[in-house]
Amino acid sequence: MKIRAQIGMVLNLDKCIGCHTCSVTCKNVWTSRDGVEYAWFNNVETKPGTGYPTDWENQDRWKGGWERTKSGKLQPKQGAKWRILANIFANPDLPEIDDYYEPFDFDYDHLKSAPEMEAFPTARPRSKISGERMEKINKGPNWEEILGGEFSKRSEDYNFEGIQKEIYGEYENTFMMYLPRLCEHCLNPACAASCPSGAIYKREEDGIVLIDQEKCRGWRMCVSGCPYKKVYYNWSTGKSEKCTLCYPRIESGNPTVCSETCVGRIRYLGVMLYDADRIEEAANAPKTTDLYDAQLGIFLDPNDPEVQIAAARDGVPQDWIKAAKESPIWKMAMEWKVAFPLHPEYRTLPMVWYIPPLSPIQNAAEAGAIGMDGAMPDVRNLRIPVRYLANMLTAGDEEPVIKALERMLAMRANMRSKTIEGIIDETIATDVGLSGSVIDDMYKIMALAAYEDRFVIPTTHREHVEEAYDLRGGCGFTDTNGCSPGISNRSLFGGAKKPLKMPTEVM
Amino acid sequence: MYHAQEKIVNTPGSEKTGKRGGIHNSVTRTVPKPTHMIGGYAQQSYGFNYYGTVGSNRDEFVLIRKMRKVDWLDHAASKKETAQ
Repeated sequence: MKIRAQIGMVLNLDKCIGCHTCSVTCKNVWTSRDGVEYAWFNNVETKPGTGYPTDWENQDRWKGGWERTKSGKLQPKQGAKWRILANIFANPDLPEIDDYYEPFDFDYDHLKSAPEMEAFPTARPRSKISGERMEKINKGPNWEEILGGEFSKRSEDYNFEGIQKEIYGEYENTFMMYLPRLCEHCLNPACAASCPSGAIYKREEDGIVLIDQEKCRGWRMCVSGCPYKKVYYNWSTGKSEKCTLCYPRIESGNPTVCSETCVGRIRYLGVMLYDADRIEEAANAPKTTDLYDAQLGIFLDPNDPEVQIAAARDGVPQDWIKAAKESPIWKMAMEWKVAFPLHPEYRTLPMVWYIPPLSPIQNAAEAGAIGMDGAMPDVRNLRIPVRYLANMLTAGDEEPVIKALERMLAMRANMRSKTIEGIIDETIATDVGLSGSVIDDMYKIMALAAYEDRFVIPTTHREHVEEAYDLRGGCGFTDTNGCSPGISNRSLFGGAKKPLKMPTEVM
Repeated sequence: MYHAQEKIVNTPGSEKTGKRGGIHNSVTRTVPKPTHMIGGYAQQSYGFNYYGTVGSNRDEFVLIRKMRKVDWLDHAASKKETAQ
């Protein structure tokens, strides 16, 4: 047993309002520069839809993630190392710019600089790649927002597998949900396995997956290797980039930018302890429907004294063990089993988890329009088909999703009975396999979601991972130019720096 | 009440009026989506010049036609130079 700690994330889709604040703040901080105009380290998709890049979930097309070979070996779906090397100059599985979208901006300046005209001016779009005028925008990072476009196109969504989908194209039967996506910081990252330069690594101390910008040679095998299509090629620097889980913030105990700014408070960050020796076994479960359980099997209970001793022995700092005990991720994924990994069938053991959304059925259920299961509406009658959620979160196994949805309904019923009817009814909790105090705890963390409950992030112990003696008394973040006075001519990301104008007093 | 933002981004001229599709406070300021035309559903016509699926006010009759030719009305007043 080799115990490691990882910062995991849970997104409570039941509370996501699709406002894109996470995407926009992430974009502003990380990708508002040359070469990555098209890249969104965090994006929000309206489901059902084919997403961004288009059809990213179709691994028959992109060959992302891992596969179990006939002989029972685990290898990247795009091929083992010889095939990767053979395709190194012409990767056949690489998405092109049109699979993402052509980034554009509007000519805002024209609004004030236009000459006198017959009609008042308008800001027309211009491509951020060619700089040419675009006559018509025909794709964006969220082109299908709120059921935009024809159902025939949207319904190519891979999660409709095994569903008679035509009925959901009818206006009265349609459904939608939001899916915010970012790098999953997988326990078994396919991007790292695909990289011919060995530039991608998973940090031992917190599990964040990063691309070493000095080692990356821009082969882009990670772009096709990542089944979530969350590695982006920067055409300006010629290197690949991805979500860093805002590691400078995480290291100092702060939540990521997307989590910090989340309006619906849907995001949670916390520590998970896992057994690194069992990753391969878990990722190589024979049946895809076993992968969810197999992944749960490698997490270790931080409240178990033996695990605590073993974790300390393996170098997990004490405050990380303490944080693991309070981790909201542990509670939601392991104790209450309401959060699920996104597409476990990719065999990457993703560490960004999702709580499936309920759909608005309560009134219809009370009016007798849909079936009831005891006092609660039958979750199989939810507007969003359970099978659809199961295809997304548990490789098609409906049972765990049904259980999670029932627990969430019970959480609401419990609170309604308590606050409206004034009755504390323990059976509501016991019916879904919980106890009254646990369901109150669920309510506190999932519904009230105070800042301290959502983000339990211990600071990084740099002294454990590198020789910190030299850092003592050293200078801070200096853009690799030694102890500078804080003035450098180049920007952090290469290229010329915009001149900084200090405001001066005019008096 | 918050008023609609000005209609200044990505708005072609109207074929009917030869102007840029109404002033910023006109009743049909929106660029319509198919769902605006679905009709009869209260949740899709709840507001008037308000955030959300505006569509148009119940009292307004709105005729929607596909444009035959898109004209951006980017002519300078003299028509001699074309603004880029």
